[in-house]
Amino acid sequence: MKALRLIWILTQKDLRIEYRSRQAFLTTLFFALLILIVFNFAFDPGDEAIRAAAPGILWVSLLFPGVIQLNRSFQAEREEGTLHGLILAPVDRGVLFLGKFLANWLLLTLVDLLILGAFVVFYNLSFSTRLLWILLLLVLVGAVFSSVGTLFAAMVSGIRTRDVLLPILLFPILVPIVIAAVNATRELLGSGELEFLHQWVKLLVVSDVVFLAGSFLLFDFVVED
Amino acid sequence: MNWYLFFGYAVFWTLLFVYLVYLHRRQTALNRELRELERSLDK
Amino acid sequence: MSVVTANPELRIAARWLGLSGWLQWPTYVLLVVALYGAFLYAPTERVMGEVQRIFYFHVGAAFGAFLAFFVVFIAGIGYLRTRRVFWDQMAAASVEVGVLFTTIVLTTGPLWAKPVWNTWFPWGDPRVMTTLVLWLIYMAYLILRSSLPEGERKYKFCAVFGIIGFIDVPIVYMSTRWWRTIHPVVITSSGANLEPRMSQALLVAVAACALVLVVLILLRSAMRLNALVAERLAQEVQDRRRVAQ
Repeated sequence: MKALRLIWILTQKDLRIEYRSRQAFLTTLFFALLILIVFNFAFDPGDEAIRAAAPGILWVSLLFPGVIQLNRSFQAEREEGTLHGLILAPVDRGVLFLGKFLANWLLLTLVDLLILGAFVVFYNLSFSTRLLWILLLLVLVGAVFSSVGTLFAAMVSGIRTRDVLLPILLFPILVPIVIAAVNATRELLGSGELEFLHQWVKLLVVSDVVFLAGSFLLFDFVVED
Repeated sequence: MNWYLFFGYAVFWTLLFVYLVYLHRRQTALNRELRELERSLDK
Repeated sequence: MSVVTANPELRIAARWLGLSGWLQWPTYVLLVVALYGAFLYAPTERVMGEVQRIFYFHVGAAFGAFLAFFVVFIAGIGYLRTRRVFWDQMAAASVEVGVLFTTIVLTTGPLWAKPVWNTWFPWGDPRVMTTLVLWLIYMAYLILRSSLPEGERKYKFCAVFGIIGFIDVPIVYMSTRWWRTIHPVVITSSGANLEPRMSQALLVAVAACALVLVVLILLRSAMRLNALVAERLAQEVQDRRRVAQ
């Protein structure tokens, strides 16, 4: 499957670029951590409201850094003009998309994983199998975020207001995803039975398929010249 | 009371509609003029 | 190259204007009938009282708002497949009219909700949430539009966003529905038991709003096409003058 190899090569390229200047990755991570911490300052210590809001705080702290990461994923192409080079290469645009998508997905999931670790510490959670479920949620949400996000990031890469424009475009689309993620997390962090979890996971999987397919098909129109 | 509401809104809608028809006439005229212009440019 | 063949938008605009001109008058009459239906024909609701009458046009406007978004979706696909500008202008016009209708829904909603359920904005109600997200997507579309310079890139990007937005709407609705089953809101869904006169009034109101939507979209699209061609021809005239000098 030559296409798969090509996709993996592109993904590796992006990951390697990111690895060279880890600084970018670390600032994203720090930003997420900062949001997580600042939220805690917004509540009184020991306030029950914090525990009730915890699932929401987790996911909100992942959204904004995620957007910054997405915009940055096209920074190289933008500044060096390498997007033209990629397009001129005899490579299907769909492959380009999947390469970028995969790189973004992996990077995002890595950040999410580390933030989840901080979250566990801050909210004094115990390591249980339920955390593994949250990990699954991170992976699924990351996929939707990266698929639509890569498509939109490519669109706004040429626009000066891209840093505020990308959230404006992306967040309304992600509303159902956030609802699903937060509610599933709330159930997982609670002590009761898991009655609705499978429902939310189903919704996330469906969204993954739908948006990955949609973004894949529409990406062509976004990088033409 | 409902009669007042009905008439009130009916009058309001009629005024809006008059404006709508005005816009429509203006756009139709503009369209015609543009086609004239197009024809004259074409010569 | 002949200028005539370069401006097919004029003939398309003329056709749309003709169609909307034809539809205008039935639309006027139907809306007056709908007003009669909502205020005089339909009986007063037992529990909610007179304020419930907002509901007829609230639902009508909501139907129009979502219908407009469907037009945006179709027009987006149309543009991406044919690259003909009139599709994009119709999409943009539909967004403009759609925002208007959505805003009407979101303002009549609280006016109805406060007296009846003692809350201005029922968070968690699936239809309210979906309409709110629709409004956000419309707004994002307009902001995207204004951030891009005129040209094929703008039309393509807006089409792409419109398509993604449209496939998102059902997912929003599903997620808010499930959200509600977990956190049941005191508000029960209306429309469960309507007397026949009420359903009739509702049907007429929805039909009237749909017609108003169609007429407005046709007119606004034609306006945009006219403006587009006017700009183009003005440029042409300018170019010719410069060449002649």
